[in-house]
Amino acid sequence: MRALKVVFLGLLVLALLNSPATASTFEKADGWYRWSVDSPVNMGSSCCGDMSGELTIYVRSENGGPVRIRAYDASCDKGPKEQVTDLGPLSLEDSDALLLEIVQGSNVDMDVREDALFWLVHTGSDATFKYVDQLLSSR
Amino acid sequence: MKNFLKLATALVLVLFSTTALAQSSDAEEQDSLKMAALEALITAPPERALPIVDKVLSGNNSIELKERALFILSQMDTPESQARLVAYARDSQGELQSEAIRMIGIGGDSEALAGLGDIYASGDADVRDAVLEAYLIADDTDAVFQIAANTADEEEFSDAVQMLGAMGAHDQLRELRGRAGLSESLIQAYAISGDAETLQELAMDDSNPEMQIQAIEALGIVGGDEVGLTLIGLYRSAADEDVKEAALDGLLISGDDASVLELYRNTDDASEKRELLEYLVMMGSDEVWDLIDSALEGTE
Repeated sequence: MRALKVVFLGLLVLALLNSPATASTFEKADGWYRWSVDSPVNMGSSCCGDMSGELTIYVRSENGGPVRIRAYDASCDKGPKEQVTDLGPLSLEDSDALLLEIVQGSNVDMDVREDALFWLVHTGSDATFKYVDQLLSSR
Repeated sequence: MKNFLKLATALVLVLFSTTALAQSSDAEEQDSLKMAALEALITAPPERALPIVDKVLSGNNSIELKERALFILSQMDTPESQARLVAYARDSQGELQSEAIRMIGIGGDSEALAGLGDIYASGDADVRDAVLEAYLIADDTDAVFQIAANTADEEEFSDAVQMLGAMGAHDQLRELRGRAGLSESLIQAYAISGDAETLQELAMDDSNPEMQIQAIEALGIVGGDEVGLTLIGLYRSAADEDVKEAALDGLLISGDDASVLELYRNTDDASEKRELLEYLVMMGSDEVWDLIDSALEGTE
């Protein structure tokens, strides 16, 4: 009987481990989040002229999860007019971590995850390319 | 105890089925993420993206992922990436090889396009089609001209000439007539390219009646007011019945019922009127019912 209970509890733990993770940073409050990051990639020019290389990334959170991503060059910031939670200038690593959190958020809409992946590659850190390499090498 | 066992069994079954579903969903998500990652590499520096794209192409990945990788490769503007693309176009097999060849056309790199010549020469029919398509995409009329000008194979010549027609390569097609002589495939290509000038010249030339008739009918494919006048002129001046019929067929093909109507109204020959009326019926001319009424009433 005790052995069965142990099996039962083990199965319960397994079931919990299988439940999808959530993107924690954007759970705090709904609304727009913003941060800026210097990209090592030469981004060429945009409709506003030569790009500065500093990217401002906006993430819209609803019901505790990211639902939209926008990104602008700092010279061409057309971010939302609504109130924004400013996460400040972030290091490339911290920016990557936020974007990766969205990419790997199994509760997040696939389009949003793909957008996050695009901007992750666009900012172009060494760690990102390693991640992409691993992702594309996985079965 | 029994109930507990049942509960545990049910839980195991639910867990296994949800795990199986989750695994299938995970696999789909993984595939989507892979595709998105690959597409995102288009913005990455080529020296960072090339090794990753290369690994996708040489790995055990789906054909969709590999085809997308070829596209990304085609968009990298470096000698290394273009050389890799040519290598895949030369050394791959089947669908992937054809896609690599097409991607060289999309990329439009002149050296990579030049590399397609050898691939065409040693390839099978599918490879040759893909190379012609790549030249079409890249608008490389000279490369297609070289194929047409240098082949002794009638089918290859015909395929290349049809492609030149689709590319609107008037000059190259005219030069081929001088080199290889006139042929049915050349006449079709003149029509496809819209070269009314050459077709009008051929339509007037009665030295080869078979080619003349084909040229007259091909004028119908080009169509237009000037072609209509040429076909009316040919119809009226021709002594040969086959030429007359070809001119009418040309008008039928071009849908020029106004010209057929003009011929109908300008003839008093009853059998000719009947034949022209038949053409107007075939063309679905709006005025045909008025003409039939008038004919029945004897007023026209």
